Amino acid sequence: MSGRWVLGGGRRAIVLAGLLAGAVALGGCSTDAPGGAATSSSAATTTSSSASGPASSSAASPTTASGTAGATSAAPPTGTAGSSSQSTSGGASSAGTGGSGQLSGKTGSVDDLTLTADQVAAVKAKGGDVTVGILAPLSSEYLANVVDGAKQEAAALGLKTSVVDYQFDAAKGVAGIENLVSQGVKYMVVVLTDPPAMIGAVKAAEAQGVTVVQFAGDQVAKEAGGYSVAINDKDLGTSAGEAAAAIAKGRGAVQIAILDYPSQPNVVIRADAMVAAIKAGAPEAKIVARVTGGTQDAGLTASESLLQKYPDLGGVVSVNDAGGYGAVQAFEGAQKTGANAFVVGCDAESKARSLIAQGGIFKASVDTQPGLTGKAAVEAIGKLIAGGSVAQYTTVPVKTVTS
Amino acid sequence: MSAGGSAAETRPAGDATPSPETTAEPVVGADPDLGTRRGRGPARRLLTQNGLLVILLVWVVFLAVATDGFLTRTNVLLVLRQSSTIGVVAIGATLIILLGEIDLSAGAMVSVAGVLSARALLSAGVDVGVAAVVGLLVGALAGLVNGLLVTALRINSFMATLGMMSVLGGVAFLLTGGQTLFGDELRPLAFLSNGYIAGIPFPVILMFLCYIAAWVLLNRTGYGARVYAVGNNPRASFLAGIRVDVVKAGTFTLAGLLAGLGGLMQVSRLNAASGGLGTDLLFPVITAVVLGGVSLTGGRGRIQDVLVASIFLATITNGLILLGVDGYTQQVVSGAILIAALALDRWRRA
Repeated sequence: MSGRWVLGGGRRAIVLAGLLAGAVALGGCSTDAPGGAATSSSAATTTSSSASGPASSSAASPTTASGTAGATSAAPPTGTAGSSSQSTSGGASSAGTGGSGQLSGKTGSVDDLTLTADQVAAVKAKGGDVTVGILAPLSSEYLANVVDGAKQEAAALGLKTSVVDYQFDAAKGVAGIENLVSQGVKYMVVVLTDPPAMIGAVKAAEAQGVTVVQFAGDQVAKEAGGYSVAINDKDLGTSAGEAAAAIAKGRGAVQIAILDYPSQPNVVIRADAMVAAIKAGAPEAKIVARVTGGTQDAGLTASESLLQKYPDLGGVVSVNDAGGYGAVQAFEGAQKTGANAFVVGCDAESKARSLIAQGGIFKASVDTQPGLTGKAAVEAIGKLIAGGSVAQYTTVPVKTVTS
Repeated sequence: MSAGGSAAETRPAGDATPSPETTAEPVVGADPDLGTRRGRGPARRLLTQNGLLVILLVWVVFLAVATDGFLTRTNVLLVLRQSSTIGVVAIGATLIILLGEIDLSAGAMVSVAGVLSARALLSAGVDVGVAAVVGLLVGALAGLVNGLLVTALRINSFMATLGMMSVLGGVAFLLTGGQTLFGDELRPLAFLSNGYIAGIPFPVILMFLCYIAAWVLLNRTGYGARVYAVGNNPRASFLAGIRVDVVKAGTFTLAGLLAGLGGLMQVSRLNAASGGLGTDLLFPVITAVVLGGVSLTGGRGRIQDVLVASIFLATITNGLILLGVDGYTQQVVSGAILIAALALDRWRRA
C-alpha cells in the first residue's frame, strides 16, 4: 500500500469511472420503475416532453413513499381553498398576467374548470407554442400522482410540459422557478413545500408575466395574487372522522386513538377535524390518545405502545394511510380482528384500497384525488389561455372509500 | 494494543491522510476512562463506567412506578424489539465514527437494500434466502463504494456519504416509483422481525448476537485494535504499519452490510417497502451512537454503551405513550430527556 492511496493514479481514474458508470446503471433502473413518475434522484432535474408524447402512468393512488411526505409536505400547509382564511386574501390584480383569461371570483369547484369544446380548440390552436412548467418534489406517491394528472391533462390539451423535481429542497425549488422563467415559460403549476422561502420566487415570476397556479396549497392565491387548486384539510379530516364515527357508533364506548403529525400545521387541522367529527358522530366513543404517526414505522411503534396502555383500544384514525398500516399491524399483533378493531386513514393509497377490499381491520380511507388535483390545475391554465375565467381558489373534493 | 505507543507520537506536518480532529493521545481502546478512574470507589467507578446504563435504569424505575404497564414482560420485549433495527444499524455507525469518519447514508442504504430485497421477492419471485443475500450484498456494496470514495478518492466522509445518501435515496424512490411495495410474497421475511425463539423475539436475539460479535471484534481482535488506533491517530497508525485505508474501506463495507441487514429487518417489520424505508432511521442511529458516548472525533467509545443507548431511545417513545403524554408534548419531552441524558453522561465523566 502506498500509505495514502489504496489505488494508484491510473487505477484511481478507473475507480472513478466505474463509480460514475455504476451511478448511471443505477439510474437506468428507473426505466423499470412502476408509476414512472419519479424523474430524478440526485439533483433538481428538468425533464421535458412534447404534447404528443405519452403521459406517465395513471396510477391514481396518492401518498407516502416516505410515509409523511405525501400526506404532509404534499398537502396544503395551511387551510386551503374553501377555508375562512380566503376571505382575507389579497387582491388578484397581478394574476393571470401571462394569459388572456381573468378571475371569475374568489372560490369555485373543479367542475367550473371544465373547458368547453371551443376553449379546448382554442388551447390546442396555441398549444404547440405553450409550455407549462410543473414544479414539485416527486419523491412521494401523492405528489407523483398530482404531477401525473397535470401531465396527462397537458397532453390532452396539446400543451408542452417541463417538469422540475426539487426534492423538498426549497433552494432547488426557487432555482427551478427561476430556470423555468428564463426558459420563457409563461404558465406554471407549482407545489410549495416551504411557502415562506419560495413565495418570493413566485412573485418574481409573476412580475415577469408568468401565470402561477398552486396545487396542494393556497399561498400563491393568498399572497401573490395567483391561483390555488387544492383539497381542504378540514374536509379531509371531517370525512375521515365521520367514517370512523360511523364504525364506532355500533361498537359502544370504543376507545379510539388519533395518529397525528404535529409538526405540519395543515395536518393538525386535519386531525382536529377528525376529533370533532368523531365526537359529533359517536359521542359515546372515547378518544384516549393523540400521538405522532405519519409513517408506517411510527404508526406501528406508537400503536404497539398504545395497546400496552389501552389493551381494549378499538380504533385508530390516522392522518394518512401509512400510519394506519402500522396500526393494522399492531392490532394484528394483539390478535385483534376487524370485528373488534378498526383503522381509518387518509389518502386512499392503492395499498389502503386493497386492505379495505379485504374487509379486515382497515375499514376506510379518504381519497385526496391527486390526479384530479393535477388535472384541474392544468385545466385552469387551459381556461386562462382560452380567455376564460377562473376562480382564485378551487376546492378539490375528497371522497371516502369504504369498499 | 500494538499501536498504542505509536499513536502517542506527535503527528507529522503535511500528512495527507485524512485525520480526525484529535490531539495526540494514548490509545486506550475500548475503555475511554482508563487512566482517569484509578483510586475511585466502586460506586463511583460503576457510575463512571456505566453512567448511561444507570441513567436508563433510573428512567425505567420511574416508568415502572409511574405507569401500569411498562415493566411487564410483554412491554419490555416490545421495547427491545422496537430498538432492534436501530440497534443493528448503529453498530455500523459506531465502527465508522470510531474511525473518526461519519456515514450519513446509513438510512438510504437501509432503503435501497430493503427495496431491492422486496422487489426480488415480489417481482422476481426468488427464494427468501436469495432475497436476503441481495439485501446484504447491496448494503455491503454501497458501503464499499462509501469506503472507496473516502480512501481511494480522498473525499471527506461527510460529503461522500452525503452524496451517497442522495444517490441511494433517489435510487430507492426510482425502484419503487414512489409507491409502497407490499404483498404476501414478503411473508417469508416475517420471521426476521416478528418471529420468536423460546418466547424471545428473534430480532432481539439477532441484535444481541450482533452486539456480542461487535464487542468481540472490537475488543478481542487485531481489527478492533486497528479501528481504535486509526480513530485516535491515523498518521501514527500508518507509521505503526496499519493499513489505514484498508481498515477504513473494510469498516465502511461492514457498516453497509449491517445497514443491509437493517433494511431486511425493516421490510420484515413493516411487511412492506417504500423509498423512504430507512430515511427516518439516520437521526436515531446517530443519536444512539452519540448518546452511547462514542466520540465524534474517533477513537473513543464502547459498543455496549451504544446498545444501551439504542434501547434507551426506544423506551422514550414507549414510556411517554404509557405516561399518556400527547403528541405535541412528546416532542418536547423526548428532546428534553435526550439532552438530560447527555448532560448527566457528560457530568458523570467529568
